[in-house]
Amino acid sequence: MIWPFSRPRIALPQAAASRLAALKAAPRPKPQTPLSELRWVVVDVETGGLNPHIDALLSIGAVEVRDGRLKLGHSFEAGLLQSAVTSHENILVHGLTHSQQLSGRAAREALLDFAEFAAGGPFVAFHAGFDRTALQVSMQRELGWNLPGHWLDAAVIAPLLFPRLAGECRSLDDWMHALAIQNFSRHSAAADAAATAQLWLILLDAAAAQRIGTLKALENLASARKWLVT
Amino acid sequence: MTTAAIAPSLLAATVQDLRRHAPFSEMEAAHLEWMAGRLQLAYYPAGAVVLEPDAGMPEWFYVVKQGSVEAGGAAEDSVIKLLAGECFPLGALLAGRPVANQFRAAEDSFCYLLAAADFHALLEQSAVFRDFCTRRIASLLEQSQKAVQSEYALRQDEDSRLERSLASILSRAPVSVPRGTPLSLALQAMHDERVGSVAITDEADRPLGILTLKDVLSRVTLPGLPLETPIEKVMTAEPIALPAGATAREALLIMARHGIHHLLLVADGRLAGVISEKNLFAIKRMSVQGVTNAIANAADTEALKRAGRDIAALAHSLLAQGMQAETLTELIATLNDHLTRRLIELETAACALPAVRWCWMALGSEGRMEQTLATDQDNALIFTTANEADLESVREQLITMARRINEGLDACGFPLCKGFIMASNPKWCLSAEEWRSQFSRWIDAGGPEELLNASIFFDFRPLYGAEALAAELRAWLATKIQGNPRFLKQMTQNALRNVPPLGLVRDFVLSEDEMHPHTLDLKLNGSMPFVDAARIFALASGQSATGTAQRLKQSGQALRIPGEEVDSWVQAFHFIQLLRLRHQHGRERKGLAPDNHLNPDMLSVLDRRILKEAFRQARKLQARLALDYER
Repeated sequence: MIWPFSRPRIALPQAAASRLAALKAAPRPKPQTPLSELRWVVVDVETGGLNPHIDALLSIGAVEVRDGRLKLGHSFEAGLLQSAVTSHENILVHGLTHSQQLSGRAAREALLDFAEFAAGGPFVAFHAGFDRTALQVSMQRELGWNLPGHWLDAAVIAPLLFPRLAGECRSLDDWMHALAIQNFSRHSAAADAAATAQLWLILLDAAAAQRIGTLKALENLASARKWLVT
Repeated sequence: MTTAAIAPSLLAATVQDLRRHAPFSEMEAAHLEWMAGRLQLAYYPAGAVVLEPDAGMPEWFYVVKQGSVEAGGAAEDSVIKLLAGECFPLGALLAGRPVANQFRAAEDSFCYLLAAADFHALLEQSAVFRDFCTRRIASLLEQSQKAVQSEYALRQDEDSRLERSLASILSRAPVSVPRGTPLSLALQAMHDERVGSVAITDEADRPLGILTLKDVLSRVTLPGLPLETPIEKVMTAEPIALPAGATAREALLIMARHGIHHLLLVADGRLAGVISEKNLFAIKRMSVQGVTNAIANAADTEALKRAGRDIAALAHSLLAQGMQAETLTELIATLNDHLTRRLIELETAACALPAVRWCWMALGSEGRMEQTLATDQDNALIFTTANEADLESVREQLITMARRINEGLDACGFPLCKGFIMASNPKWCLSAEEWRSQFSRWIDAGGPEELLNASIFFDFRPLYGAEALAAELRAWLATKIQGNPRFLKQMTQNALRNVPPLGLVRDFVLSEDEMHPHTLDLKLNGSMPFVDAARIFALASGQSATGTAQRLKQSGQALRIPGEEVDSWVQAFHFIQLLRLRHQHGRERKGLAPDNHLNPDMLSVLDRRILKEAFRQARKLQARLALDYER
């Protein structure tokens, strides 16, 4: 796993620093929390390519799922204004142009906004490893901080709860089709997050039916498939 | 901390999703956006209970996003099915009471939820939404009506109608006088024939000139010319003439260019007709009055055939102008009545008639004044003889006449009845006494065939002749039926066998008939439950009306059924009739024979929902019928 273990100190403006401090201090959900009491943050990100370590994070979409409901009024989306060549070396070594500063600040603001919206998760995504890595790489670069929290991968959990469909379903589209989920036209990260959230509503219902009651139990189910959880 | 909000792209997508259905399609964007930002989406697997009476006051307003939700009590068979775009529980939310029925997901479904407080705030904000919620069925019907109007407005292209040949528009022979005719005679002829112009012709019938009423004022009255003046002194010489094959469009253009209101038509150099601006306006907007006059003035079957075609054209045009089914069917029936009466007049003038009282009766849909565009004839004769011995000879004479009338009607576009229910059939050309014993036999036997006959014949209505004969028969029948509860029960049981095609799995139960797969029979499954129930109510309460709507209204009062309930039935019936007319109109435009087999997938989402609601009304009506007469 390629990971920026050396964490360069980033000088944050005062406002951003205090927001980050508040985020670091925020409580996180306990593993024994019943599934029905959790506030899920269902995420989808768009990047400039297929490698979340290198390719630029272009946008973040997320919706809240709580009490078995997808809350459209609690959703999030942000485009990140940053140039593809920007890396933390560029920021540290070279001086930034005005526009680069602007876009860099925009990306930082967006990531802080998202972290505040997420409020510690737990997070859900389809092929969650990708979204998680892309977010963490950007967080690390812009804020010098790793977004903490539980991550659950709908792509792993769906086949465990619906084994009869496991063989034929690979992509989110496959699952949407197999479970007859009609979604809005999906051409934004938020719409993809909403689609994943609809799948998640069905998976939560199936989990309840299979007496999987807590976050821990769901994570155990997933890790039984040799999937790593934080 | 960011405040709760909806992501812009989700907002747009949600608004777009809602817009696919009424009333959201009609609501202002600002209101929809306000609503979308407050929506939640919930998943209900098949069988899951969404809402139930025990839950108390409803906390949410639901809109089905996908799948379907069933509502209904365990006791009745009144399960209703709500599909994508449908809202519930409107009544309970508006009245602030728990729901009366359990709502459960009929299949895996997603619903949008809006908190009750937000629902009420939306009612305050949006007049469209408020109107929809408080007048759900009425507002649906209106919207459908609007849809009909716009749909037909598009097709109501005058262009195609203006391509009609002038010969096809002519409704009468031209009024003409020879050269040398004094003005007094020519003016008298115009007055007698009720025309606005007279043509002047030579010995070979070639047109020489024209004189119009307007010309008379400026050329005769004001100069004070004596009426003995020969007409050629004042006529417009070398009048503009068109060949009979020219189109209405050309005629209008020439009239406009020359500022004239009359044109002569010639065929082979001879005068073939006079076209007035009025004739042309008539095809632009064919009037009821015009068709009525054409029928009244028809001198032969040929003219009536044209009138028959005009009735159909008029019906299509009125449908296009958004006329309600109720008015339209009544109008078609009235014009058909005029036509039939005129035909009988013409035919009776042409044959020897027995000196007895007789009456031509309309039966079936014609008797109910509910003809659509696909109606064959159903008629019968009733007569009296002074002398028993004359019965058969009178019948024979009447049948001879009736045969001519039946054939004439066939020529005018009312096909002969396949079941031979026509006045020319000796079985249905009966004396008053014979009718009474015939009706008595049906009422006493009450078998399937008798019930079928009763459903056609008991809707009889006098059309021509001694109407008192039919009225007496009606009065006799009312008394007879009321003394026979057993027959009413048999009719009811028979009517209840025709179950409205509402499905438990899909929204409609469709035909498995190979001839018409995947269709609903709008006549059998649509109108018939209403027609049958109305007939039973009317017979039971001794009402003389034969029209379904009128029967329902009259008997509703007599039987103390709440007015709103009756109104809903009547509206539902009219909606189905309107769909039938539209369907038949659509088929005729494609050159297909009009029928009643509708594929519900061809309906708009709105019409589909109203049709479902109409079928639900049929079910309610049948429940009422069962309650009153099935015991």
